[in-house]
Amino acid sequence: MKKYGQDTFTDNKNQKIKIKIITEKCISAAVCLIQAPGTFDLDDNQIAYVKEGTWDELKNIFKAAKACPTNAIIIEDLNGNTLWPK
Amino acid sequence: MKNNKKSKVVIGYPPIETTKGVPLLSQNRQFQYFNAKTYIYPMVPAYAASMAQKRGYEAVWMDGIAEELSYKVWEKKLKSEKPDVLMMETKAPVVKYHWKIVNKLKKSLPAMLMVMVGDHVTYNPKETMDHCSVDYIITGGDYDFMLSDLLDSITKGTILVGGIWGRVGDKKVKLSEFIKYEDNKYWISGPLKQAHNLDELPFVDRDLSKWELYAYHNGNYKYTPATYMYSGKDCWWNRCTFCVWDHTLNPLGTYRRFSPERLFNEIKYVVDKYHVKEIFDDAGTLFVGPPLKKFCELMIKSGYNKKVVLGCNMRLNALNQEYYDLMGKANFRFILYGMESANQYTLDKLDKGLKVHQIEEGVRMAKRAGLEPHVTIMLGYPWETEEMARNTIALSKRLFSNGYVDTMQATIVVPYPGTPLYKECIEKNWLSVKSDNYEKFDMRRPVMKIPFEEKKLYEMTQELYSSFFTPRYIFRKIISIRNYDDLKFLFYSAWKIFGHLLDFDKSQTKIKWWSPNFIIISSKSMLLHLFPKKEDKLVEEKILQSKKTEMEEEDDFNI
Repeated sequence: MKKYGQDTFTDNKNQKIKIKIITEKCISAAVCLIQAPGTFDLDDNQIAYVKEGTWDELKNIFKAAKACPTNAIIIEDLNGNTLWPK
Repeated sequence: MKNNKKSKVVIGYPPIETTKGVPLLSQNRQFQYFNAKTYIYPMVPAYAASMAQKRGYEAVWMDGIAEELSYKVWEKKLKSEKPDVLMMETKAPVVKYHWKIVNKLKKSLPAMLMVMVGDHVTYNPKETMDHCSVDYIITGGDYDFMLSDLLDSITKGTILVGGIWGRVGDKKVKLSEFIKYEDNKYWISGPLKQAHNLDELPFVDRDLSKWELYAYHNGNYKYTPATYMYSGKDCWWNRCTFCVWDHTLNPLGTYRRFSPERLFNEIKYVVDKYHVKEIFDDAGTLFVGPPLKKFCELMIKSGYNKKVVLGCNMRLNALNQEYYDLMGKANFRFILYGMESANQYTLDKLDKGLKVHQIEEGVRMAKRAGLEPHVTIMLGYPWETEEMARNTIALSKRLFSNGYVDTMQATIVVPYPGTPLYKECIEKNWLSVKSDNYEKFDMRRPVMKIPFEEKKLYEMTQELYSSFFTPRYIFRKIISIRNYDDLKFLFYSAWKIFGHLLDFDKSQTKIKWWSPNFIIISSKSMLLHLFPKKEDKLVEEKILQSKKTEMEEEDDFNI
């Protein structure tokens, strides 16, 4: 059963962005959890997903996306424009 | 090969007889000859031997390099063992030497099957099949599992897994329908799959793999006897364009690691049984996030953090202070970072995913947590001017002077065959040697055209090595001596540094320790660091600029 944000965009009322994780790309490096622990976590298969509740500051979410070795984290604005990867 | 269970396989490193020094062939993502004796524990071969033993074969360890044997003695021992199979790891700088050895051994031991593994033969297996009479090449980094799979196919007729090269007409193995042919001379047993669960590996049999050969002569150790672990294949960043393992043995998408529990259990077993004082985990980059937290908690709660000191490879921008403090409590000491350069252009070109200002931030946090940061740096990039190289030396000096770094290793960048950097070198005609003149890729000389004299590169590498020589660093080192181990390590480090200064002397093998010329040059390169230079100021500005650029990038994202 896919978790929040896994292969589909998810949003959050306190941020003007949407986040999706391409599960096939995720290698459980887990560095996103260090940069944005309030936004990302690992499921039982060690694949990243997006947490519900209050996300981290925008800049830390982007740091997490930039730190991902396989660019598995996709960030869009609410109009569907891709913000990351550039 | 006998059909009974006890077929014999030797995992061997034939001695390499050379005046260049000790060949650092095993467990090395690069390749050098060191003047100072250094033997690095070959982890994947050791797991291969242990797995073969577990699966019913008789495994024998014959590392002629670490046992300091002559080739003649090593070959005599091999003949007395009469193995059914010999597995050898090779790398570009010694692959032609190994071709000759394979051909020689196939004549003197015709019944013995020969298997080659390693980054170079994974990059170009056909070349080695063409140039010597090796029987099989196991491609990829999972030969710890696949050697036993090959032995099973030979002795029990099981279908051979993918990723192995052999010769047409070989009836010894059972091939699947996924077989492919090459030049009608060779077959490939099918697509290589690197999805093995590393937790299924047996613990390394350290008696079998003669762990004590590798327990003392390694600059990564402060406390000995010490040993290695290898908890991940290989590095979860996996993108640095110069790293040969990232692009041959363990390419992007094949990263796997131990679970924290598995790593802790093998450490516990090794500490209890062999009473080692230090353990270095040589995974390309240690796992981070929740797995690292879990592992540290296991070390702390069990009390094993008081029984053994740990070391690992890490990325400079992977962790925050919370993680470093936890690692400090778990008794991590030595933490090795690939810094590579102080120039953002170079960091981006190498796909390091690192910003200049994150270098100092990373080592500062590690130092604050009580760790001993070690940075590896390279000079000799074809695009780096002398000024850019001096910028890297200045940052190294700054990190030493500020007390953020304890030790450093400088090398000349080598574009190993199989890396994107090597490919780019060929496309842009950057090589100063023939692209298949592999012996030259031994770091004794630059093999890429550089925008300044080669003599200057040697001098700057020596200057880089002596960039620790600042009053503040030396004072801090002296007052940090607490016990005999610290004192011993200080002299050992000083001796290693002189060894490295010798490694990079422009006269190379024609110079000795006691040559007046060497003493003058190395003293000069150290004394020069006692005085401020314009680069010291420049590097500070570059750090601030890097920080500013990142903040501007963050603002771009503010919606």
